Amino acid sequence: MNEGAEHMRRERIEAFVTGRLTEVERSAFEAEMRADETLRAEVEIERVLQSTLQRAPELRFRELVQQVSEAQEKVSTRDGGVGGTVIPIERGRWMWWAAASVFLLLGAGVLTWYIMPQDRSALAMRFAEEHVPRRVRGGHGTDPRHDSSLVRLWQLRANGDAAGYLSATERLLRTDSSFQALHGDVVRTERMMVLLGMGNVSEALEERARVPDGSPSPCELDLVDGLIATLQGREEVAVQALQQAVRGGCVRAEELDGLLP
Amino acid sequence: MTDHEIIDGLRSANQLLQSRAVDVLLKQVKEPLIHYVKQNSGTRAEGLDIASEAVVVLWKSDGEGKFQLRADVKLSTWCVSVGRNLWLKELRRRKTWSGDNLGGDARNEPADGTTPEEIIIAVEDHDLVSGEIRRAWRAFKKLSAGCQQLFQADLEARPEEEIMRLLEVTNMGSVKVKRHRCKEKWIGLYKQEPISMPIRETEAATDERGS
Repeated sequence: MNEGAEHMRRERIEAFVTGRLTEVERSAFEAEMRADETLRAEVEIERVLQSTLQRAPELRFRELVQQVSEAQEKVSTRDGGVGGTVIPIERGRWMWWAAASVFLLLGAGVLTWYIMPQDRSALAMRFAEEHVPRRVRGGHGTDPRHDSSLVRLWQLRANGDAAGYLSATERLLRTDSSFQALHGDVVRTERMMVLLGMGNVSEALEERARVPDGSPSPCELDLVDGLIATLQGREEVAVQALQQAVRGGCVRAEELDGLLP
Repeated sequence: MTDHEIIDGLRSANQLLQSRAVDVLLKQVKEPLIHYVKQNSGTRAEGLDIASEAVVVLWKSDGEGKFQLRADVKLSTWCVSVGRNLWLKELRRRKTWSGDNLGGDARNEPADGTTPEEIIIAVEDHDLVSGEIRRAWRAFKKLSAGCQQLFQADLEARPEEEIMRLLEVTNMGSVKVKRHRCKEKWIGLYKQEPISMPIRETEAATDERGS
């Protein structure tokens, strides 16, 4: 069957499943189905695909819940919160105390080494997610042709649609040289923030490499460098860069609460 | 995080905020539900599934405007109640399916008579995701970003101009061709996917029930 005929057959199946056929068309289609096993199977598949599309938002949410649940289980298993062996006190009191002491020492170490940087990473991500660059020089003017694109980008970011924002800006920067000239600096800086907000350090570094030092705003770049270092756990570098950003005036120290000592 | 903040987080389009809210809520409801499920013929894994399912029911009920946050009922209490009733529904389903041969605690299946009407309705309205839909969804996620966006745009009934812009084409004929090819691709991927079970009716479930 050529593509055109196949296309029409597929459209009829879709129309049948979604209830868009007229009464006469539907009766004819049902008669065909009774005689054609392949068609019946195709209709069944179409039903499944339509139901899947209808439930797509729920399926996405389910995945998120599943991911969170699995992450919690991993932490719980790693920390020995579940299923650990309990030593009966009466049979081995000294062992219990020894185990408790080791656990406390380990616990203190883990708290300092692991949980604190985790908290800072979460703070850095939250900051990046919400930060709107202030001190980025724009291009050399404006162009009304870009207005709708800019509004759309703002909406995507305000709605927290990071993937949508990244894909839209990537396309604009790649295909529209005028947009790139006028808004490229702002958008690239913001892309770094969006990527950091997602905890995607490697792509933020790639984006960072595309922006030369000293342009568009050394202060915003200090801020980006500080957040990247925070997420990488390089505390000294992070603090230095973030303090530099505060001095540059693109962020207030209190906005970086928890990220600076 | 307060109950209001959790609900705001669940409603958010921002996945990071949503994850935080889910994380907090799951931690609150997981252990009571695992305990309940294990006491009633189930396993820890099934308890975890039920906890996740309860969060999904809350998200759906809220999205459909059927959930109202009340000062006198904590969110976690609501979810635990949903989870308990979901598990009872699941036990009933298995009994029917297997001719009531579960044995053990299942015979003494508790009746949760204190459940408010709204929770009973939410649980009764809630359909598990069938194995076929899971299979189709796995195939969907293997489609190109362009195909996924196209189906998403169709689902949201976006204007034709917007869809054409999205696909970077200039006429609707090209959109139709693209849609057809994407659908063929999806069907092909779907057929390649292994068939999956609707819920974790695990071997482990049978093992642990036996022990």
